[in-house]
Amino acid sequence: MKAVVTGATGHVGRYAVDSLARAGYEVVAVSRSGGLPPVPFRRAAHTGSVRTVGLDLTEESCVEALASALTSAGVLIHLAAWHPEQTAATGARERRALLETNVHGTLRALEAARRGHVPVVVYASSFEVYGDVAAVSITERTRVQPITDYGACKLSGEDHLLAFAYEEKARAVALRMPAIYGPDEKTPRALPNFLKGVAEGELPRVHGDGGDLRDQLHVADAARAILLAVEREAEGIFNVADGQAHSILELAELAIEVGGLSGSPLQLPRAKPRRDYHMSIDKARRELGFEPQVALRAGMAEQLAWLRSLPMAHGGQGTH
Amino acid sequence: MTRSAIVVTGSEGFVGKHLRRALEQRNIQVLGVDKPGSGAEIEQDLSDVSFDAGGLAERCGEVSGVIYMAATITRGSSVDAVARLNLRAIAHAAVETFEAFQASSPEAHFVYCSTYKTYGQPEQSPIDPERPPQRPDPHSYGSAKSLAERLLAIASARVGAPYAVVRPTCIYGPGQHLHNAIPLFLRALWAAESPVVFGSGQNVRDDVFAPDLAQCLLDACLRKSRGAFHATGERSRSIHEVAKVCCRAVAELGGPAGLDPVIDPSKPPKWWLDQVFDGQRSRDQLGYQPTPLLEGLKSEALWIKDGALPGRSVDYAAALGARKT
Repeated sequence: MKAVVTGATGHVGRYAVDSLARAGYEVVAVSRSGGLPPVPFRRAAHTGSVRTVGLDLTEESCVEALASALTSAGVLIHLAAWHPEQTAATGARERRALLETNVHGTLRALEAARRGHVPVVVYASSFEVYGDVAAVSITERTRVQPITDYGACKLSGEDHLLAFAYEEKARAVALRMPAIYGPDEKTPRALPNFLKGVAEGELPRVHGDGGDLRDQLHVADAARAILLAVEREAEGIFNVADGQAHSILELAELAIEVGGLSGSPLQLPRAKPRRDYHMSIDKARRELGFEPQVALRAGMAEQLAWLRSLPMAHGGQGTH
Repeated sequence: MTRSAIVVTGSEGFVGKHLRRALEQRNIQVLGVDKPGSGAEIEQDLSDVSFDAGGLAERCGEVSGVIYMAATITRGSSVDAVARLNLRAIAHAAVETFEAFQASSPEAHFVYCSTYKTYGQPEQSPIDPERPPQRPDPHSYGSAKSLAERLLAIASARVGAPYAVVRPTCIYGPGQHLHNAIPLFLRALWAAESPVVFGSGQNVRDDVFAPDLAQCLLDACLRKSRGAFHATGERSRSIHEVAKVCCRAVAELGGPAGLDPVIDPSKPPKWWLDQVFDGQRSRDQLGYQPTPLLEGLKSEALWIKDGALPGRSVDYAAALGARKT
C-alpha cells in the first residue's frame, strides 16, 4: 500500500518513514527540501521503498502537487507542522506563521487528500490542545481549552480533519502527543536540556521542587502509534504517550544517572506556576493496541549516546 | 456627549444591514468594513492574506467599539480554497483586528459574532454559553469560528483586554438566504402550497430574528460586556412547529389560509443536533428580549411577498419595530 508522509524529514517523520518502509509500505516522503529522510540513529538501513517529493504546504500550489503524489495512496500521514521554540510565548508574527503552516497547511493537505480520494488520514496533534486543565489524568473527553496559539492551531487541524472525514466518508485519526524525545530532538525543553548538560558534565538545574508532571513519548513509540493508526480500523482522537506521569525532577535524576554523574539536581527558584500534564492512554491501548516499548531510562540513554556521537560539542544550559 | 463611531465588519451582509440600522437608530456613527464593491465606508477584503489590521485601525481613528461579524457560510468542501479564504476572514483577521484596535483605541470594546455551530454535540441541555461544548459541527464554518474564539481568548489573556462573544442560533429575518428552511416555507405558502418539512419534523431548533441578534451585539458592545452570550429566539421548537407558525404568519397577513406542513421523511437532514440554548445570561446582562417568532416571521413573509429585495430587508424589520411600539 502507498503511504504518503508529510513532514517526512522532521523528527517523527523520519522514524515514521523508516517504520512504514520496514513494514512493507511504498512510502512517499514529502518535505520542503524533498530530501531523503535519514535512517534513525543506530538503526540498520532498511531495504524498503521510499520516494521523495519536495513541496511547501504554505504555498497554494502545493495542493496540486500533493494531490498528484497521493494518487492511489491508501493513507496520508500528515506530520508537517511548525513548532515554535517556546509555544507559551508566541506573538502576532509567530501566530501568523502557525496559522499559515499548521492550519492552512493542514487544510491544503486535506484538500489534496480529498482530490486524491485518500480513504485514511492520520494527523499529528498535540497535548497542547488541552491547555488549561486540572484533570489528574487527561482523557480524550477532557475539556479542551488551549492556552497557546500552537495548541489552538493543532485543535483547529483536528476540527478540519473531522469535517473532512465526515464529508468525504474517510477514516481519520488524530494522535495527541506530548513533546517527543529521542535521538535528533531539537526542541529546547527540560529533557534534552538536561541531557545536553550532563553530556558536558553539568548537573541539571530544576526550578522549584521539580514536581510538575509531564508526559514523555519516545520518537520510536510515536512512529509505532502512527503505524497502528494506519493499520487498525480505529478512528477519532487518541492520546499517545508512554503512559507514565514523569516529574521534572525524575527527568533530572535520570539524566544524571544515564550520564554517569554523581550528585543531585541543582534547585533554582520556581519561575512559572506549577502545571501538570498527564494523559491517559487507555483508549489508544484499547482501540489501537498501542503499548509503549521504550522505557524512559533507556530512551534517555539512547538520546545521550546520540548527543555524544555528534561531531561538535553541545552547550546546554541544563535548565528547563 | 457624543459617542465615537463603532466599527462593524461584514456591515453589508444579512445581519450587518440590520446592525447598521440599529446603530443609526441610536445615532451612533457606523464605520462599516466589507468587501470591495460592497459600498461600505471602508472596502476591505478581510480574507486577503496581506490584510493589515493596523492600517485598518489607523484609518478608523478613535472608535468606541468594534463588532466583528465578517463571514461567509460556504456550502462546498470544508477544506477547499473557498473555505481557506473564509477562514482568514473569520479567524485570522478577527484576532488581528482585535489586537490592532486594542492598541489604537484601548477603550473600544470588541464583540465577536460567533455561531451555535461551534457547539457540536452538547454535553448538557440547555447549553450554557460560558461552558460551551467541545467540538464544532463537522464543517468549516463552525470550525473557523471555533478557532477565532480560541485565538481571541488567548490574545485577550495576553494583552489583558476584555471582549464579548455572541453566539446566535439559526438566524432568520428579511434579507436571509432564500434557500434556508424558513424562506422556503414562506415562499411555498405565498404560492398557496404546503411547506414541506424534511425528516421526522421533530428536529429541535432555535431561530433568532436577525434584528434581535443585531440588538444583542450592539448591547454587548455598548455595555462593554464580557464573556459569552446567546442570541436566541423565545424558545426552541421542532421544525414542524416552526413550519406551522409560518402557516399562521402568512394566513394572518391575508395570504393563503388553511395550509399545514407536510412531512417528507425521505430526505432527513444531513447533519442535525437537537440543541437547546440558555439565554438567561443575555436577558440578565444585556436586557435581551427576543421578538416572538410569529412577529418575526410576519416581517420576513412580507419581505418575501414583495419580492425579497436585499436592499430593502431592514425596512420590513423596521416596520415590525414600529408596530411593536
